[in-house]
Amino acid sequence: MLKKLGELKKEERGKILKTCCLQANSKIARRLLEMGFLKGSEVEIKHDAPFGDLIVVAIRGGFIALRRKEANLVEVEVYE
Amino acid sequence: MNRDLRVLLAGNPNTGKTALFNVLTGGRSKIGNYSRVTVEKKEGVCQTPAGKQLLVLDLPGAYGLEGQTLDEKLTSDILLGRIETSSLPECIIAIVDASHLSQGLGFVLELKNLNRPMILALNMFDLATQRGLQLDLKKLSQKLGIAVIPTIATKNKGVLALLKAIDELVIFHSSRTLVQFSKNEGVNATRERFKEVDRILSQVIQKPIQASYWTEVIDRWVLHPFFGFLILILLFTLFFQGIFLLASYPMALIEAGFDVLAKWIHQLVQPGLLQSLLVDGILAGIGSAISFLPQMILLFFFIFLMEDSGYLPRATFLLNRFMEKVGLNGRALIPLLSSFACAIPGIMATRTIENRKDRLITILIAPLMTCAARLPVYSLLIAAFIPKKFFFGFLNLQGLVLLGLYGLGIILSLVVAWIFKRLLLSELNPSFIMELPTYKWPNWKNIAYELWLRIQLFIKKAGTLILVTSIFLWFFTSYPRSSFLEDGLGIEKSFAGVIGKKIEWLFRPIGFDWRIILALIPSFAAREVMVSALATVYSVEASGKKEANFILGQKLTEQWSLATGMSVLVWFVFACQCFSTLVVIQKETQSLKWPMVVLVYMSGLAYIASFITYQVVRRL
Repeated sequence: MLKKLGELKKEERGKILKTCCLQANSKIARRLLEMGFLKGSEVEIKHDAPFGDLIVVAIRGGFIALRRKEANLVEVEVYE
Repeated sequence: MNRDLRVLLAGNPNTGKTALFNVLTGGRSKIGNYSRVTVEKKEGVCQTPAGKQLLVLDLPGAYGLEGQTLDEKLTSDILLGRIETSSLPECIIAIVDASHLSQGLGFVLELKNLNRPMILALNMFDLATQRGLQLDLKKLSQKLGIAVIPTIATKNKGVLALLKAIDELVIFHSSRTLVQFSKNEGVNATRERFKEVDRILSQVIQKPIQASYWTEVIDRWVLHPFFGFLILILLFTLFFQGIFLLASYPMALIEAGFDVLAKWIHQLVQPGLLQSLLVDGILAGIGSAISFLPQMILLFFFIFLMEDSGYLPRATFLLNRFMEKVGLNGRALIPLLSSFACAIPGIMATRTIENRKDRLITILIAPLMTCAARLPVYSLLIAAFIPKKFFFGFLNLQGLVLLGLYGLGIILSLVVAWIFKRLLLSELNPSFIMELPTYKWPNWKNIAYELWLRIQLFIKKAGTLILVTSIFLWFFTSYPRSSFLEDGLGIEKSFAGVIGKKIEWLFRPIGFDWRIILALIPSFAAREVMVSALATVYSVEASGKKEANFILGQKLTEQWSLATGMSVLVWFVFACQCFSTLVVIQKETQSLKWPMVVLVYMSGLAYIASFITYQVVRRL
């Protein structure tokens, strides 16, 4: 199933299909790419900040904390 | 000394870059300032096996050359030859965390475009192999076209190989050709670069790395919605409790040392002007400054410990929401925490905040955190005015008041942040993308080394700014010398006394008399001067410092009303009694406006708060 990364629930896993690069978000997109959010990378939502919109994503053996809003720039094929 | 080559250490944050720098330079380094941008610069020297003299420069961690934060911008400006150019030929040691290859190599490919001789250090190689990584180093070196050296900086492994590789580099002058390089490559170029990294990695990685087992296990607790906060609160309680408990022993030792020194001077130098200058001026001023060094060291030690082990980014993750609520960026946590030791490194640590306005707000409120320099004043006044009372057998009233003063600073800082957020119209939610590094055992050698640098900076400050103010204070309170000196009226007739009396009317509503004003003036240079200034003003004469503080406390209890005592305490919570802070704010914001804003708002806040305190307590 196709979803945006920010829409995934805790412990859901998937594979990145695409990282969007709207001009308005080019800075954020670049940072996402630098952090390894590339097509084909496997991701898993590890943690959910209480009262907040931050999530921790496991990617390429590391962990990245980011906002759901920014995570939504990444499209993911969710594993069933 | 002649240097042959300048070596730029560049890499992502959390790659052990500083550890490698420390091993390379063997501690023979210094913190200086970059020209034009006054940012801490770390520079050191070392020698290769072939005898080349290297000048090593530790650049702030960066993910790319675009320069999204101020730290990153500095790194890219130096790498692109925009600032700090040198006539020496240059080479780059790119440092990559062996556990985060794709992230690191993306930056390496960007660095390769700079067309400078380069070596890749695959650092923390042991940790990566422990997690199952196997890769073909030779092939990686071929694909990248540069030498690849596995290193373990914390264990001093691979460093010799790195230096040998430098000897083998073909060195050429390249800094002049850099200017054309465009750093705005666009998102698609970035994407292509990282695709290239993936292509290379797919050919060299024989076995992929596993996620760190321990990091996952620890994070299950540390980032837990309930236990995570519990751990956070426990750690921070321990943090502050530990500092007060542990610092009291070395502080007593230092004070005793200065007492011995004072007695020694008393014996050696004849009573008179010179003795007075040495003992009452210089020794008293520097002594009171040095005596809170242990507290500052401990604070920094705990902060470095939490940072090195990887805990602080987690705390940022947990607290981000609350900090945003009052208009602060989550990344402000580390700078604000450092400000509890001293606002100066705190303000400098704001460079990691990407959003310019968020960074500014953090700088503006950092001086409201209760720094170590306030503590000598707090302990003197609390001991003098707050009775040693216990509630329920264990809650100490004096301790509660101290806690209250910390709380007062924090709460008001949040209010001020909230107001500035509205005034500056900062965008509400700037992006937040932060790496959570794997947990590591802290590198003790590194921490010791960083602490030593802080101590050096502090002692330099004590030896210059505080020394000069102490001498000035002594002069202005001792001259013009009058025959009334013996009656204790000397100070009243001195320059300082005359000034104090002239502006007494302004401070009467908050309960300060001319003597307090007189002590406040030199303490504007640094808060810690206040104690010795009061001792001078009330002409406390005692053979030892401990005794002196006790006698001073008694004198204050006799001469001040409770309302005045409380008013002075509150004044020190808010007033910007620190010249160095203003200087650093000027340097960091590159404008005179913001230090003025800080001075004005803090003075205003201090006056209002002291006014309320004085008027309320007086009527109780």
